[in-house]
Amino acid sequence: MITQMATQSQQQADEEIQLARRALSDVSAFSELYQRNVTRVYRYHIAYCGNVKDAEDLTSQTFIAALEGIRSFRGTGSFAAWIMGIASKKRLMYFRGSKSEVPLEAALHYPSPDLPTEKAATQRLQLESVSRALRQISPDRAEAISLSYFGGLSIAEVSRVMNKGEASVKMLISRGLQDLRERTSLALEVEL
Amino acid sequence: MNDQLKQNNNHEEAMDKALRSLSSEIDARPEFKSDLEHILTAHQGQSNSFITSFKRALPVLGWTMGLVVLALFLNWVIRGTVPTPPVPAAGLTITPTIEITITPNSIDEVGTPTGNDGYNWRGAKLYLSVPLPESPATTNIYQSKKDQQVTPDEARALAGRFGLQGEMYTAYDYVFNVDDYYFTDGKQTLEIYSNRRFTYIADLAKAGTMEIQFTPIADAETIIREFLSARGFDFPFKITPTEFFGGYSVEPLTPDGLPIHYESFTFPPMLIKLDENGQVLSIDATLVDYDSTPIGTFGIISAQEAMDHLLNDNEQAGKSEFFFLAGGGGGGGGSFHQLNLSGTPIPFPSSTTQPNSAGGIYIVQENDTLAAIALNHGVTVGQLVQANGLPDPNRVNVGQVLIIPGLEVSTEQRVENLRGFLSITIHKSSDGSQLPSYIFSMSDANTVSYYEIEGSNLSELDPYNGLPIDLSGTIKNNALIPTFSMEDYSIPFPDLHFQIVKGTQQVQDVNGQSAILFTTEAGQTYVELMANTHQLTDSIIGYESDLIQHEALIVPDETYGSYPVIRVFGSAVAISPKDGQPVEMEITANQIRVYDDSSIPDLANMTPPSLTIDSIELEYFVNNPYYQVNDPNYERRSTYIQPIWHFQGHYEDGSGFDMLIQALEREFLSPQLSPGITPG
Repeated sequence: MITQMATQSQQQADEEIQLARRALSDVSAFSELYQRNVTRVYRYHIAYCGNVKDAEDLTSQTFIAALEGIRSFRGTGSFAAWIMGIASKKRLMYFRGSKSEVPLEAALHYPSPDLPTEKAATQRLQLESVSRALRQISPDRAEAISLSYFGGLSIAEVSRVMNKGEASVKMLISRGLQDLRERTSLALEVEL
Repeated sequence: MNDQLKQNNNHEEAMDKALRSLSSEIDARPEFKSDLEHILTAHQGQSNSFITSFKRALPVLGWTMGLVVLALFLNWVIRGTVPTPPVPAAGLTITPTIEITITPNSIDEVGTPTGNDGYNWRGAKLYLSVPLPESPATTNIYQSKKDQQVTPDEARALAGRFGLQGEMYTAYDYVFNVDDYYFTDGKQTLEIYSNRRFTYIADLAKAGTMEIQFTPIADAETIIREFLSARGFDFPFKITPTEFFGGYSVEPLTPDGLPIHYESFTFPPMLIKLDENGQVLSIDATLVDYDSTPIGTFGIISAQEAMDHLLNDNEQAGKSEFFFLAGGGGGGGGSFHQLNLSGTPIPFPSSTTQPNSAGGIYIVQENDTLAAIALNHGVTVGQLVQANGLPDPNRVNVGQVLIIPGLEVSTEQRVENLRGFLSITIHKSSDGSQLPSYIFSMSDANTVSYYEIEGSNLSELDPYNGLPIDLSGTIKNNALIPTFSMEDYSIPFPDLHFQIVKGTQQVQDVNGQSAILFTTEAGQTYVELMANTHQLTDSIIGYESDLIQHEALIVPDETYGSYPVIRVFGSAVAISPKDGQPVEMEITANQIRVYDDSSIPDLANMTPPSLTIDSIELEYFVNNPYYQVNDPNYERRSTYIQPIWHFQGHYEDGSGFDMLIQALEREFLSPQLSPGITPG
């Protein structure tokens, strides 16, 4: 699933550029862009803030800003990279004013409502531990991990959003993965 | 040491898998997703919903131009069915094909002046609220220069002017394949390509809110002038608020005091946004570099002559029109003549000077020669070359549309076995009905022409969507999209199918063009073309010589240079760089696409609003240099800074109007049009 998103085909990317042009005047084109990208934006936000309320809040803000700013989308990069750039700025602002560590609320909703309860509970714990770890490690590493794994962007797109070279993005991801491993029990299952 | 490294890699891999698995299981609540979608669409409805904007746009434009622009919109939709090259792409301008589809009898009586009652124009009134200005007999022409990237020292110097010191980063711009220089102090950021082309943000967090609500403030000009002057920008300029871009447009003045304007739908030379406290929030600069010594002085038309051109919808060349909807959004297009500064005037084809006795058109067929075409139409080869501005009389392309000078308007053309591509779409309308549309497309290196196929047995074509097709029948250039009344067809390659092909890419010059060669795993090398066009591809997937895959069509008899052709409809890397796993691609180009047309308004029930021209100014125009970096078409674009008459106005419903009229005397123009850039 993620692999598919990360390697969004040229055709999809081109379609989205066309859609973004039409979205200037065509409400259905924006809906289509929304449907194609809402999941990646939501995943990106929840990975960092770790609770549904903030993730939904940030997801809404991201798309409203995108809607208002769609005119400034020049179509020179992929739409996915553009919207994740907005998501990134939104997140930065959201947490700037508040405490450095956002308390994890007892999330009322599970990350994905359709999962069996037991699995969902495990998943919630995992998500909580990842988002806590993401807020502990260096912001750049956390950002590269979030954009790549949860935002589903390619390395080139992450490098554009973060204004860093691809090599340095790869480095950030690699270091970030090691950081996360030290701070979560997530990988243990897979390793065993 | 090695073991440690290996262990680290294993750990990384395990974490990688775990994260991917976790991420793939996360989804938002369905009710949240649908609620947000409703909010967004309602939100958009207030300002620029499709229905309001299109309903406004069409009457705003009036019938004739409305149709032209609708054709552009439709063209976008049609182009949306195939992957199109990323911007900058071949210009979507009003091509001569579209120009001559406007038959004189479909046009209102052209621009009748009715004294103080305004002009009758496009079925509505056009008023002038300003007198036509006096103008000099001549202006200069300047030569613009391709911008050069700054050196690191120059970048530091520019950053210093903004008070940004400290570390310099590079920000890779993968669109233009250049490294920009990047400075930040956590609050301000500055991304620099050159001293003329940079983006400055005074407050990153604030800019992130991307508020678009724009209300011009009284002392904006003072604020901006002080801000720029304090940072060493000491050139003279003109400031205009621009609601469309949500800020202030800064246009530098040439030595003779006229502002430089770009295509109205692109960012101005400098776009400056202010925050709610009236402080400069951001600067998007794309200033043009030019030689301040003009290359000469040339005669221009008067404001009255420009006005006549504006009113004359029969004459679409040499002007560029744009509309700004009151709530945001807009559209438009147009194309300018190339300049002819040779000193020897080039006669214009009669079709553009005398629309009522316009020449016919002819579509070049296989084995045609220019001499034969000329003979058959009773004209000379020289006339054909002149009328069409052909660069090489020995070379015309199959499918190329030629203007035949001096003939009666011929809107029908019988053709045999014309080769093109079939593309089928289904249009859903508001009553739920689904209408299939069969489009026949032909292309040469510069343009793609589309024809709607008419016929009784079209559903027979369904299995061949996306494939080459040979059609015989009659082409009629009398509708929005020219129609192809099909009498017979044959499928030259019925067994041809789309395939996923793995291989590597390499850039190489072929026939003097920079082409991408694709070498399959089996060792066969092809030239890549963009989907069903004659345009070369320009995207390297990943890095050159990475193993990648294309969703492609290989038509057996097609060649480019000495290579066979692979038509690329979609691409991906073959192996994911993230996990080393193969990436699966699906074939989708043969699928029939469905478009929802339910919100396209009813043309027949609209009343055009009146238009008032609020300002008429003589300015300079040059193609927006933003698109010059690595632009394969750069050399073909006009690099002159030339005079234009700039008409600005408003429609009674509040939408804006912008028309640029090429101001040079005709003796300095060529009938050939200059490639433009696409709005977007």
